Amino acid sequence: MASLTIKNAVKRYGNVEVLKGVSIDLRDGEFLVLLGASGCGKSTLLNMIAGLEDLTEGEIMIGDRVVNDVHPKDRDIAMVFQSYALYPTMTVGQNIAFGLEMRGVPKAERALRVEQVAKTLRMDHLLDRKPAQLSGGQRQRVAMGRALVRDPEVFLFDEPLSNLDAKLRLEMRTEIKRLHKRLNATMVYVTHDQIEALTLADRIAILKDGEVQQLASPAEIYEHPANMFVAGLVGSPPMNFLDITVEAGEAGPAAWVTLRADGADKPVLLDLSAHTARLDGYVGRKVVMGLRPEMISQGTTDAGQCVQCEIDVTEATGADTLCVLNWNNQEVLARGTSGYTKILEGTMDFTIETERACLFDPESGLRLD
Amino acid sequence: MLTRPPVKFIDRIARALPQIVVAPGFAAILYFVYGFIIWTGYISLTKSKMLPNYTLIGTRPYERLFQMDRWSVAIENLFIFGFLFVFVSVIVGCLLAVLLDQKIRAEGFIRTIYLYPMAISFIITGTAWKWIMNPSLGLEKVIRDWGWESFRFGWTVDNNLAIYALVMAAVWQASGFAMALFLSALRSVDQDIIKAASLDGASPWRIYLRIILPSMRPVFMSAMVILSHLAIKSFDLVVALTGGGPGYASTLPANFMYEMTFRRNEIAVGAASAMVMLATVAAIMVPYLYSELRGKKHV
Ligand SMILES: Nc1ncnc2c1ncn2[C@@H]1O[C@H](COP(=O)(O)OP(=O)(O)OP(=O)(O)O)[C@@H](O)[C@H]1O
Ligand SMILES: [Mg+2]
Repeated sequence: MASLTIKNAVKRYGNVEVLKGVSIDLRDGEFLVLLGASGCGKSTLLNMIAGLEDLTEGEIMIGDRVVNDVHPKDRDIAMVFQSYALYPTMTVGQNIAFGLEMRGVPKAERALRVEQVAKTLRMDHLLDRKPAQLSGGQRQRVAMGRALVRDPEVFLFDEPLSNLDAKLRLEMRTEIKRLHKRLNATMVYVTHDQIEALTLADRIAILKDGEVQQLASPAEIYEHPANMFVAGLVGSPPMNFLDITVEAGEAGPAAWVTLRADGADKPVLLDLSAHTARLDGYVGRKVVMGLRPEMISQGTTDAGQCVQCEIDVTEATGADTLCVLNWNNQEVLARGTSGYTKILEGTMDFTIETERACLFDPESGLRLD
Repeated sequence: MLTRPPVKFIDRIARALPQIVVAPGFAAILYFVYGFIIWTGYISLTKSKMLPNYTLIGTRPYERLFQMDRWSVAIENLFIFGFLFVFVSVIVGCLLAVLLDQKIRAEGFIRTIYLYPMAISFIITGTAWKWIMNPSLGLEKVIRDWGWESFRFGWTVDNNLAIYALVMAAVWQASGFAMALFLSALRSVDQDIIKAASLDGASPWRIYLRIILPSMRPVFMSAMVILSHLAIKSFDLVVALTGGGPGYASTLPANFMYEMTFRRNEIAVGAASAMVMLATVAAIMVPYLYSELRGKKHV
């Protein structure tokens, strides 16, 4: 196993700059997830690590070896493709053994290692089938087996679960997590599914238009997003953004929010005194307040400021019920009680945890710190 | 109570339209292909000479056919020609396709050049190659004029080599077509598979040999079927290039059939040779089609 260092990687296709100086540092055995919307350069970066694309500028190191000019096969990397890329004319066994065969591993040892891997992935009964005779999940497993059998320094996954149905995706996600724990290998995993990113990663790198927006642990990314893009991308349902104007209140900064309650608009002064230091110099200016749905909970507690407001619509998702509220003529999602037990309607009490709110500069989109 | 609305005449026509459109073609095929196959089969059992004669004489025309040296030469030639033509065309086409697949410049231009021969009729190919291979005005003369006095290239006038001259011209004509077929198949291979193989440590030629070419098996099959039927049909090439000669050394069964039926007043023998050809083709094609169509179901 080895560490992986990407220094200021730039990729240009003609005039188009697809990656604009990406720097990422991976510890030995770390699980990094690259998260971003379609077309932001995730696959390009992965292909560059694998050596399937050249860097325009910058450097990639595996361990303490610069691999810019090293052929893909000599980088000791295994990759699982989104399309699985199984060799259609070979059986599962031959598919898994192909990499070993090309590296001149003797036949007896090949058979032994294929068998071991097949056992780990619980597919020993599939070894004689052709890829066309497998289900999506089984193909996915073969693709993993092909990577595992080589025992490489670094594993790369390019959206390996995106072709599977929801249930299987969940299963395979757990399997990958388990695998990482057992092998303790360095892994880079590309996805555009934020749940996958949050559950799998040691650290997440969020990419947008070829630039890293934030590189941090899932908790950090969730609790302290670096900017509005990250805040909006991570979390489901997404974070609410409220445009507010900061005023000087009695205890510190505060802001007026118009809530709808009992059929009338009612202005309420939200106390932002927990953010006094952060809002220094922002009095009289506009900022964006980011509130996750679970920061607006139903009922009166002493976790934050209590307000009364009218529920517009409720959406029961099973685990919990989401309430759509109307603040400042914007839709705001709140997390209501769990389960279907209570019907929520009319005007009710809500507690807003203003302390945990994120505040962003509306121009730069950066979080105020 | 609901009464069913009467089906309008126009609706009925619309519903039957597919059948109506296909029917004339179907009838024509039934009559001109299968009808004439039956007619030929019948004639091959009669004592027809210059004109069709419907008196049955059993299998005597077939016996005569197989006693003729000209026929055994034609059959032997068909096997040599068909085998070499199909395999050389496939191999040359495949090599060209792999070379063109290396992302070279001016690919479209080169592809067009290779593909053009297919657009020419066999008559023209035959005539052109006849001139090229003519000892006194073609390649042989040119090279001798350059100073290589002992150079010989008289394939078309050599009893044993004439059939290979046919192979050469036919390969020249058809390999570009095979190349186009293979090239499109090469291009449709999933790029991720190639990437995966190169990560697995396979060199480019190994990737071709072990992964890409095996996955093109259906295309190889199609190419072989198309080329085989070209081989069996190559009547015009023989007429234009060697005229079946010298003597009858480069006759193919189709030329034999034409010769017997229309020149030598042996219609029954001609018909018998046509039936033998049909049986040969069927023996090759039917198992192939059967396995292909069956194979489709569980892929
Ligand atoms: N050969 C190329 N020439 C020009 N532009 C390219 C080329 N390959 C990729 N791009 C561009 O680079 C950008 C990043 O592509 P990439 O495949 O890395 O996206 P991605 O993040 O993996 O997206 P997805 O989630 O859809 O897979 C895209 O905007 C794409 O149009
Ligand atoms: Mg991608």
